[in-house]
Amino acid sequence: MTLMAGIIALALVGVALVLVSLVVRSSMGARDKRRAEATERLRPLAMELVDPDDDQGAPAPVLAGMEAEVFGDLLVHYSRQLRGEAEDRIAAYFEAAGEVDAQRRRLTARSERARVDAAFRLGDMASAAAVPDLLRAMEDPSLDVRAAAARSLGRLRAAETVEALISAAVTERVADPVVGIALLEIGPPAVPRLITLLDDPDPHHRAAAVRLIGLLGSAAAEADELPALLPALLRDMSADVRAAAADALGRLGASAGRDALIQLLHDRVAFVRAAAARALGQIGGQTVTEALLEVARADEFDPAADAAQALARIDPALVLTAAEAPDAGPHLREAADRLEL
Amino acid sequence: METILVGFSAMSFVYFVLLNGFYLALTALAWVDLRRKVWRRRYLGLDDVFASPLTPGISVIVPAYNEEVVIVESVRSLLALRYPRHEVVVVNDGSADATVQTLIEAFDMVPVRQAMREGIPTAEIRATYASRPHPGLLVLDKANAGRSDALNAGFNAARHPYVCMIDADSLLEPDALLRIAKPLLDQPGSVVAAGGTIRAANGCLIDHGQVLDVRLPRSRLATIQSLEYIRAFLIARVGWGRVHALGLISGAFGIFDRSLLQTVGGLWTDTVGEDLELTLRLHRYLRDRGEPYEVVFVDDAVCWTEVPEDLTTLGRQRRRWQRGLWEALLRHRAMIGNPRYGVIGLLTMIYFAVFEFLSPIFALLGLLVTLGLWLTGGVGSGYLASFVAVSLLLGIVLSTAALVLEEVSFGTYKRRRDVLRLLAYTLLENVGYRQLHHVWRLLGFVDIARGKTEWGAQKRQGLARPVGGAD
Repeated sequence: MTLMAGIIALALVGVALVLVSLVVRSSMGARDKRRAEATERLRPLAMELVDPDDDQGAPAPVLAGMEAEVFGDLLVHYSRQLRGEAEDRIAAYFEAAGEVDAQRRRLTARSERARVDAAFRLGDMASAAAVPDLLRAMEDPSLDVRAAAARSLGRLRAAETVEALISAAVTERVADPVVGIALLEIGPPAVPRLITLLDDPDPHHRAAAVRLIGLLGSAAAEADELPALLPALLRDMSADVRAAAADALGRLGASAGRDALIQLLHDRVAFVRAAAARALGQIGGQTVTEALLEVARADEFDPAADAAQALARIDPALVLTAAEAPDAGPHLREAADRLEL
Repeated sequence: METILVGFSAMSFVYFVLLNGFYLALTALAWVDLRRKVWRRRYLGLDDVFASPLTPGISVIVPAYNEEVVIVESVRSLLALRYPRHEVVVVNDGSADATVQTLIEAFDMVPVRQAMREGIPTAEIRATYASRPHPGLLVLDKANAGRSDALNAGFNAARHPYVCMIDADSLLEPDALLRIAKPLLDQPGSVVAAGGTIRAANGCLIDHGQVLDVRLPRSRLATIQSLEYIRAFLIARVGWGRVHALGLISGAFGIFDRSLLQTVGGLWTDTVGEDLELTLRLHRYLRDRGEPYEVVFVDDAVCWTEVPEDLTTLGRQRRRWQRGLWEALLRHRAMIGNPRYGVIGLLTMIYFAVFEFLSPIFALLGLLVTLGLWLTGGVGSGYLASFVAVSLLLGIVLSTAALVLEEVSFGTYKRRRDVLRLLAYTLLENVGYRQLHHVWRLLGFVDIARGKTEWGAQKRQGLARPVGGAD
């Protein structure tokens, strides 16, 4: 009977918790409604601050409590979408309101949740004053804080932190793709440091660096040097690096790599051959069609599919003709049919 | 004889203590896990994932059999998913209705000679169609050979590195793909499969393939299943995931590494438990080779699906699940209790074998035997009360705990009366429904003994149709 009483008591506790959660949710619902009303009321003020009608700029409203929070959230929302002067105004507001300093202090709070929140919010406050604190946060024991700090450094486009970001990826303190997203936000200023990583002993880092260079390089000051730098990586020991280098050359449209890429169509690894085919499709040129045709006809699925698509891009008429040959293979036929869509 | 029956009753008592103790442990794990995850959801940075060129592509594979009523809305909502790189591959599995014709007309599709991988053998592909306005849509029209075969054909046609399985009449929330793909970015190279949460969509207000308003179904049976799904996903899957012992990625919504699927031969077509079998096979394959990997559960990636509203269809489904479980356990019996497979062999497989597969024997027969013994004076009232406490009341405690967790972590059901109804149904679920469920599972043993292999007809209302559409 004691067992039954104990279990019934547990069930009643469960029921009570559900009822309490309903009450809590009800009060949160009322709060959310008030916030939604405040958001609609303050939106014009926020827009005026971000994009003023005259050169003088709109004075920052003096707000407190929930209204200050809602106004801050509106500006954070805009900061994710806007660049230039609008961002400067948003940063100026948060700095003047003391929000940036408050969040910088929270980066050293005992609560992990507070540190993650601060690291994340600082990225959306657009204030460069937070960069040194976020750099220190990259050493935080919590992976979530480090990831949030990396994201924020990217959002702030803090080019001076490129090395720290790459180092965090190299030492696996922050996941590669998270750092990758941050470096893409920073943009072309990240390229010089990425170039130095091309000699890194770890093939994962070489591959990540060359992949990012491919994405950022065309707008970088070093854009002219890259086509000469990258072909050497097509002979790297690591298949990942060779494939990433091929993709990068394709993105950069680097015709200097054309011959090396044609050679790479004979690589022993299928995904490297596929990357070479994709790159040749982006670089183009009539000299590559014969090699691509051979791959499209006879290679394994992925390289053949990519070669057929590359050919369709370079020389659609050739694909339409070649697809009718008895030895065309399925990929040229598919590419021809898709050309006619 | 009475001694044997008393012994069996005592074994059933121990069984319930262990089972519910296990579930209490999973509840505690799920509580810890969800409490950590709930506040982290604000910092997922999904906008960054969406904008990033580094986010991996996903091919969404939709097997379709006689889906002419729902397929267009379903495809529209899948094409509109918020994800930077995805394609939709519909595989018509020899439908007897106008599924293909409907798609051709709705999406301006024309025949193409689609190149297909030959890695996984499938039934004949009769035709393939590409859409003029939607380059990311492909339709395969193949001979009927079952859902698994259709999915395998989709894997062969998929172009992206990850594939997502989903049923034609299930609905993904707009950012479900982004959420389920997030672990691929956070743990690059190690996640080979990820499962999302399945919720019962019956009763919800749905328009153009999107759940606009979450409501509980009117049907009692569907309401109980809503609660059952909350318990299965928010307690069991989250708890298993917490200890890296997730043994099942639901076929209704999960993503998989495509090349790994090709390597292991895709879905096994001779089973009705293809999702469980595949998940176990992936674990087995990777652990046999000592490769590091993760199979993860993503609680906030949500798929809405229709659950049966009549006893016949539900009973058929549960008998099929029991059969599928048996087939998967039989095929991977070498993993049960085998330390070579780590926590999967020592915990998950034993749980599946003892607490899932054998559950009707102990849970149903044990209860009946104990009641019979009490009526004939074989056991006292105190024993019966204890038995009822651990077998039925503890179940109510667990269902209530799942509901608390749902309320605190998600608050999916906004209406107060819906939550109160769910609370009331924790009683119905454990007293009446659960026993019926065990009867169906017991009948599953009969199907196994008879060597039954077919899926059986599935009666559905259809979810993806637009509001005001034909019934």
